[in-house]
Amino acid sequence: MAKKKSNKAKKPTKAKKPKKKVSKYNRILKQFTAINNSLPEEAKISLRQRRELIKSHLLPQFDKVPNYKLRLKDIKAAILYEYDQLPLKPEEACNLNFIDPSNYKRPVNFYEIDEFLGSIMPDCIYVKVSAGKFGETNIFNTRDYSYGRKGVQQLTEAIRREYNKSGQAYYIGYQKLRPNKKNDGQSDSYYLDMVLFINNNPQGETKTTKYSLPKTRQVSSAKRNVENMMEEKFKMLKREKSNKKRAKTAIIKETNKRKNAEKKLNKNPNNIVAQNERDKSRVSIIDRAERAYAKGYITKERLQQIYNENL
Amino acid sequence: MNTKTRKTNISKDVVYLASNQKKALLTSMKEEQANGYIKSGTFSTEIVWGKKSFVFSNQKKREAKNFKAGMFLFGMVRKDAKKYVAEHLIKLPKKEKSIIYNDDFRAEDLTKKICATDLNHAYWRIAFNLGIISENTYLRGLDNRFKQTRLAALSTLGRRKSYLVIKDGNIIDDMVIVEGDEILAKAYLLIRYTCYKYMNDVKKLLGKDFLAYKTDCIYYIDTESNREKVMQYFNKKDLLAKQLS
Repeated sequence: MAKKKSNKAKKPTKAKKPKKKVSKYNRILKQFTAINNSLPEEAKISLRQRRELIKSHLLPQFDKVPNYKLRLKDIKAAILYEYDQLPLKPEEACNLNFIDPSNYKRPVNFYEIDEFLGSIMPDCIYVKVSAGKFGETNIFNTRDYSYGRKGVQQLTEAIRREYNKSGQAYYIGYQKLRPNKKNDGQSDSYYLDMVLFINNNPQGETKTTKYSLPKTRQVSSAKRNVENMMEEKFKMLKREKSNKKRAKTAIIKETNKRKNAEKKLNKNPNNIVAQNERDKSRVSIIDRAERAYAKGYITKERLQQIYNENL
Repeated sequence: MNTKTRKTNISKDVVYLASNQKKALLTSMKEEQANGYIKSGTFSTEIVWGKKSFVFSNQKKREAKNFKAGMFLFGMVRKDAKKYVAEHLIKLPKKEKSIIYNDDFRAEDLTKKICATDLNHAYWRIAFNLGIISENTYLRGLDNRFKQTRLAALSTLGRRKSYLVIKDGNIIDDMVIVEGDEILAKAYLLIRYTCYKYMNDVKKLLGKDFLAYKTDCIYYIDTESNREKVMQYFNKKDLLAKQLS
């Protein structure tokens, strides 16, 4: 029997797109992300950290191996080696049930929320910022926290427009259960909801869910470990803050010296002592500013401003 | 009331909060049924919870700003005082009262003109004269903005602290006393007693014309010779004073 001819018109065959070549970097990143997702919370690292590790360690390692010869087995082994080199975090550090409430259930000024999420809390817990009429963020992990991208900056700026008096607007943290999770004491089952308070009135839900841990020696020892870790972090932040303040003050003091010298020069342009003072101050200001910028204490704009004033 | 004494300090990492956030913190402690300590002072209230010490200022905004600006004095004074007590054996002068009125004063004498002489930054100057604080510390603390801070820096030398206990989020009657440094505290006593001794000496100089003295200000019958006597004495002791009409 002769085959019936189909009435359907033949589809024009699409010209095959040439396969995009996946770069070595992307192949490694893909593997890195897959391995990272399979790890427990305390061992996971942020995307930024993964990218840094690839650039600084992994890519140079495979520099001489052409992409087509690079085997997944080798990539995985190199990634696992990198994980082995990272300092081990105690498992409990990412579990809100083990963190003392004095760390989060206390007023945090709205303009200090960035510092609180980025530097004080462990970098592996889930967080949400609820600011009532000003809006709220999604639940995100502090590991991937970014002031601008997670919407926290937007909230802070909106609050600042209305409430600028000291102590008027602040956040208090409440431990809550993540959607579709059970109250089972696991670290990824809970999140910290930072609820905004205005004049002591909460702008969000303040009901908390906690898992009652057994009162054993192991638990109290783990709690103590977490507390010590948090204390260390807090101290480091304080040290960093005071260094930053000191660096900024030193620049201001030196600028004042330069201004005084310039005043003297305005009165008497031939004053050599004042000229020397001014030049010395300029060198010192630039030196201090460059060092402060390298440590991240001042912004690029501020450094540029200092250059403009002193060069 | 139960009182316990301990040698180690209770205060931990300090977190400064606005005074209107005190209620919120106490509410949180109540919700968590937390244990801690609370201490209320002239300048601040301190709440200890976990490993943190939350400090709330009890002063007005400007006062608090000045107080904070002069905080460096605490460290300077303590350092100088420690050096002083290590090198000197402190012998306290006889304890005199800080406020004395002349009980023999007759009503008819009140018709006479009265004047007063007030010591300028009395404790601070005496501390410097005695060598408890260095010249550098003395000069840096002279700014008028630091009046309260310099007094606080001297008065807290080696002082013991008393905390009320917070149990399950409620403030209860029990107290915990943290022992201070007795020798340093003695240095502060030396300053105070020396001041009262000076006042008592001037009182004796004035005899019947003496009316009263209150810590660093002395009141007496206004005569040229009295004024001279008082000023001469203070000058001899290297103290600075101002005459109040």
